[in-house]
Amino acid sequence: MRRLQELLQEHFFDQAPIMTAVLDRDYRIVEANGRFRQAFGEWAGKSCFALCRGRDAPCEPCMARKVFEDGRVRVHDEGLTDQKGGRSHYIIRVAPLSPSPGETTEFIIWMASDVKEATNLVRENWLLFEKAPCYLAVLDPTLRIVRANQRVRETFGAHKGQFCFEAYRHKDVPCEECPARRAFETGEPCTAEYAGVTREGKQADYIMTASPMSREEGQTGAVNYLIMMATDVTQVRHLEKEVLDAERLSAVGQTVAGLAHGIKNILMGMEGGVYVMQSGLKKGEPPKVERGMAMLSRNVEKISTLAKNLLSFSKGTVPEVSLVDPNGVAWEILELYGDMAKGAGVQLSRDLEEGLDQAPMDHGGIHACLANLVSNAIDACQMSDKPGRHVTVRTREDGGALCFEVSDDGCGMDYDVKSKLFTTFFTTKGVGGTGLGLLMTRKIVQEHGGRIEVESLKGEGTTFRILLPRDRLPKLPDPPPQEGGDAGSDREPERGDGP
Amino acid sequence: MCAEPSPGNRPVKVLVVDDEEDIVEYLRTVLEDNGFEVEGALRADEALAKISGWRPDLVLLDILMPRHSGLSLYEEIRRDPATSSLPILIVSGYARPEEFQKMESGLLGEAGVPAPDGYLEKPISVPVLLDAIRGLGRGKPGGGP
Repeated sequence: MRRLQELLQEHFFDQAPIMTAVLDRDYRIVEANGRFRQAFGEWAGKSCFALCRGRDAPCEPCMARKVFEDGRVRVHDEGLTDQKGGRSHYIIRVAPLSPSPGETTEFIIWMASDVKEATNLVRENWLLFEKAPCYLAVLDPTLRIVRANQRVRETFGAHKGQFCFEAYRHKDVPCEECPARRAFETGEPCTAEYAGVTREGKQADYIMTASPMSREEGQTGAVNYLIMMATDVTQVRHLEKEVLDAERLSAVGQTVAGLAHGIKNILMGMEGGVYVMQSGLKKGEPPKVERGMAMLSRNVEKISTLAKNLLSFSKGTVPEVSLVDPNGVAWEILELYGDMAKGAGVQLSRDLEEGLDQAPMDHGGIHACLANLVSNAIDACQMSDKPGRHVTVRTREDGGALCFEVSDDGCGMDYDVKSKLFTTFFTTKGVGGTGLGLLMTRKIVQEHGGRIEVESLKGEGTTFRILLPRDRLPKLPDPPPQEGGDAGSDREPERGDGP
Repeated sequence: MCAEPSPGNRPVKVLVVDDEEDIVEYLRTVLEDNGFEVEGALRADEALAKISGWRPDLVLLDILMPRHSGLSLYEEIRRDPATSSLPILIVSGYARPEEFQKMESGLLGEAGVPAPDGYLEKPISVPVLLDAIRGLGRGKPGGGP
């Protein structure tokens, strides 16, 4: 045992990864280890201030003197330059070497560990955290902010000890589906998008990831802290909104152009009615008068329907959002158009992806869109000379977007017609023959943050596809509905083979 | 082109192509009252059949018929050597004549199809219609390029 202690003293002193020296009361170095020699060279008979600092007299203040005076351990940090001119940062511990407490300290031991790398890392981490161009904050399990970076402090006025929901969103209670709470619970990173409130009261949109930072008792313990990292997407959302607005404005312009076309056709029909009637009267041909009357009344009816539909078109600007089962709406359409398809000799079938999640949508609006597309598809089939025509309604999840598709193998369209689909009032179809159907469909789809695509080959058929990215769907009204919220959401697909 | 009746004492034959039955009926009455012989077609295939069978002297063509573009039909008539020189007046409520000309240089120009003989914007008044048809005999009709 005695031998072990001697060995430890001998080897530990020389091999410890710190510089060690022993000083007497005159600050002369009386012993030092290999590392010390490596850094400062031969030490025998030299004073610490001369060797380590190149001074003629002791430093002011001198830690060694204080320890000699009161016998208490001192720890401090300082930068030192070694004999080769290399400068490092050290944590230095100066302790008395006293035989027993109360006795005069004859020697002290001076131990310095190089913390240059660690200090640099700390400084870099601080810079990274503090100056990162995103929101960074460390939270404890009570959701209080332990540390927040400059951007969080400046944007949200957040401070240490504040609840995150208080700082970011001016709320008294944690947010719905709080990513921080989920990350604390699961130990896994969790992401969510929120609209926060800045210290000036402006809206700030951000995408936030809560990532666990440490755990108690290894991998199975609870998460101690987590870091909330958020990217500001206010500008992106702003630009998206501008694009949407521009699309809407453009749709309005196209709607007006299409409307003018529709009205001109009706006007000409009315003029025609009057002309034919006058011509009949002039020539004394009662059947001609009757034909003119019929033309006139048909076109009066048309313009009246157009006016009514325009009214509903303009009124339908506020979607009534509820959680809707996509397949439920598809079933309703299949049921609604079953008889019409059968009567037209068209086979109406379905291909609905099972287990689609509900989505916040305007049930009536999406119903109207699908009704329009299916009605158009049946009509396209009727205009085709091919026997055994089909219309298929499909639903599926398509890369984060909810997809409704209506395909037909009817007459199809050429490029020219396709390019004018949403700019023209189709007078033989749609709502009351005014051709508002596709315009309305596109308007509703855009109000849901989605888009409508058309693929068509003349003589081959057409596919209309409604794509509704789930992250752009309208928000549910606050508070959310208690149960499902719509008639279509609870429908069970337990019918036969469809209409 | 002269209107009613033609120099050979045969009435000028006009084919009216429009998906709106009332418009066909209107133009038929106007033109018949003015001495023309008129046939109507509601669809492109019907129009093509009447062009080859009935052989009209002039076609009034609605450019924006649903499902089958009037422009496609126009192109088809122009590309057929048998009908390539058939006078055609384009009719529509969608665009104004100058817009038609842009459309024509964009769509038809690229396809190398000659321009129509004239444009009429709906609603068409009777004098404008008759002037346009009569104008064909003196060169380009009213409203034409």
